[in-house]
Amino acid sequence: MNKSGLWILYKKELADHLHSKRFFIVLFIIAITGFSSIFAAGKGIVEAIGKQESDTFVFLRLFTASDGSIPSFISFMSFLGPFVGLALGFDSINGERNRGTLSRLMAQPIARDSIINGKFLAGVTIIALMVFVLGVAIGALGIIMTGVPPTVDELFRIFTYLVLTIFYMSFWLALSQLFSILFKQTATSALAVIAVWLFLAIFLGLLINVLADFLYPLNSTSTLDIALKNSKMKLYLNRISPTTLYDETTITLLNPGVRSLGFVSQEQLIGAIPSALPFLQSLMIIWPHFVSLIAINMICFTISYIYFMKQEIRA
Amino acid sequence: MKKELIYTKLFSLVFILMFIFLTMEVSAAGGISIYTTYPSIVIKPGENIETTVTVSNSTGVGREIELKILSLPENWEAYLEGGGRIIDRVYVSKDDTDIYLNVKVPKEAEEGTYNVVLGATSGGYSDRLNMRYIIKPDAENKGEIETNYKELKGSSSTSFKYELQIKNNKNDAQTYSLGADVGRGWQVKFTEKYDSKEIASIPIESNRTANLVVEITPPATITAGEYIIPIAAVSNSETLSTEVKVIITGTYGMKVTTVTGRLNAETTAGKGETIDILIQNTGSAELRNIKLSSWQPTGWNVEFEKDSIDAIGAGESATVKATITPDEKALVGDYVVEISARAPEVTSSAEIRMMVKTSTLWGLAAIAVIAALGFGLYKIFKTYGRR
Repeated sequence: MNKSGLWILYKKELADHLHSKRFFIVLFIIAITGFSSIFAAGKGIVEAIGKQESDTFVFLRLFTASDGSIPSFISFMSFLGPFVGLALGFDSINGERNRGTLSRLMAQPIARDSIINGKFLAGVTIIALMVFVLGVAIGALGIIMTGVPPTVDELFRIFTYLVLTIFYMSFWLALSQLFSILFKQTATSALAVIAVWLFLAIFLGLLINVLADFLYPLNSTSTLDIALKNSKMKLYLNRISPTTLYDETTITLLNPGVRSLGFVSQEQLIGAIPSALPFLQSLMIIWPHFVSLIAINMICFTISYIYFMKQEIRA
Repeated sequence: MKKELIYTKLFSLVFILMFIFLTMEVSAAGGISIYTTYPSIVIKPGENIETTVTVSNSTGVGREIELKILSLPENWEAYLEGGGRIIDRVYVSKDDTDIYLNVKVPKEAEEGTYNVVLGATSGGYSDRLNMRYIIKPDAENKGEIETNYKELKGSSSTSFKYELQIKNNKNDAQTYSLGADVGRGWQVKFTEKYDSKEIASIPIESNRTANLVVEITPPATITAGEYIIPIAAVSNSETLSTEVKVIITGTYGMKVTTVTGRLNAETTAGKGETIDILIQNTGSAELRNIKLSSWQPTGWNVEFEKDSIDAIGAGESATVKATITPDEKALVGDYVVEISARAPEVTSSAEIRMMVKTSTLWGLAAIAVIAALGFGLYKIFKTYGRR
């Protein structure tokens, strides 16, 4: 690894990120939103402790609850995840190319794939650092505010959630890195990532609604079967979006009461006891989602890797 | 003169005789009398005897009659009682009046026959009553033990309470050890009547009675039937015993649980889980013809090894294997399945919490997908890397 220069490049990229103003802006935004949401949720929980029957999993509710004025921590993460990935990766290759430093870098006795590997790994490291530091800090704040320590089950859930968030942000990093290879201009690649983000977050859902309503029209005369097909189509197509995958995974992980993500028939509920699932069972429910997120990460990175290796640098 | 004297004497004699005859006649026709039904009593030293004495007046007019104890053995004490007080006169109208002669026999009195004479006089009338007391130290001085009930009836969960009276008829105080001969599992508790402390022995003064309560608790698993329980009070010099009967009526009780006592189980959707169902007869009578049934969520299946059990004896239990198969489409998490056992007399059920787990198969498949992707990435590294 040292021979190919990956380690050197990785350290260099890491240092670049840590010294950049961009990183501080991203960290600042994430921290501000994260802390404010936890603060709001914590206040609501402290007031609600003892009054509600749902006194279990208080610690998890810090992350999922919202007092109405500020969105919950998980929805902030879902919303800002693409932003973090984009900020860290949109100019990673074409920025260097435009500054003319890429060909100079290639002149060094280092393997070519070390450049893209090092950049991606450094980006992932920065994301992991940010997510974990923020997660632990927020958890600590939550303990101080509510006075309720997390249980082992809750710790596992939070940890898995943080790992998931890293994968989610890494996907957007990989995507923006791919665009920075595909497009020569940094502005273009940034816009492309924003376009994809907006499309997946907003327009995809709208399009799917239109399509589903066209195929299975819902009106006063439509049968239950049609209505079910309509809803199922919407649900399954929405899962194309990594944001939906991430949201569903988050809810399942942080809400032990979730037993199914699909449609539940009345029959399936007969005899069911509303109870919290053990952590591993929650993870099993959401495992396909989790794997999908990891897979799109790898696919995205692989494509950008192939493109980068095939690209003509000397320009 | 002499003749006159003789006449006078004769006359006097005749007069006296006439008077005697007259009195006798009066006594026979009317007068007062005192009597008692049992004028001769066998007693023991130290005893207090109360005798009812009837004073009767047949002179036709109400009379005040003076009563007096004319003769009393040495050291004995006696007094007359009427209306709760000591008396020495009684007014008797035409009817009879009862008074009570109390005689206190000294402890050191010796064997023999003693007389107590009670006299009644009123004007010219008098009568006397000769009471005979025969002292026999050995007579009837054995203590007595008695219960207020001989038989009590109840279910196996009842505790049976009998009042027990122990009388010490000896001349000296005795300490009686209390005990009952019961089978294993029975509990017998002796307490004083107005005290809750359990006692093992009780001292009783001579000629006193102790009022106790004996509480008998049968074993929980006892079968219906009749049980005779001998109770004994044993002192240095005597053994007093009696027996009581406890009639246990049959109760019906049944409990459904699992062999391990755990009322939850885990399984994956569509995969059967076998649970050993334990049916306990908690009553005191045999249960016959027990039918098993179940309530389960839609699409689930509960199968019993056998649907019915012929009989379970009191305190015994039976095991039946039940296979619970969740619906293929069951959600992950907890479901409830109810297993019921029904005998003609009693029913019981147990709720079993079934946790449906996701099959790990798909988890492994997903890992395989990741592995395939990793392998692809490795291939690409090999193909394009190190240029």
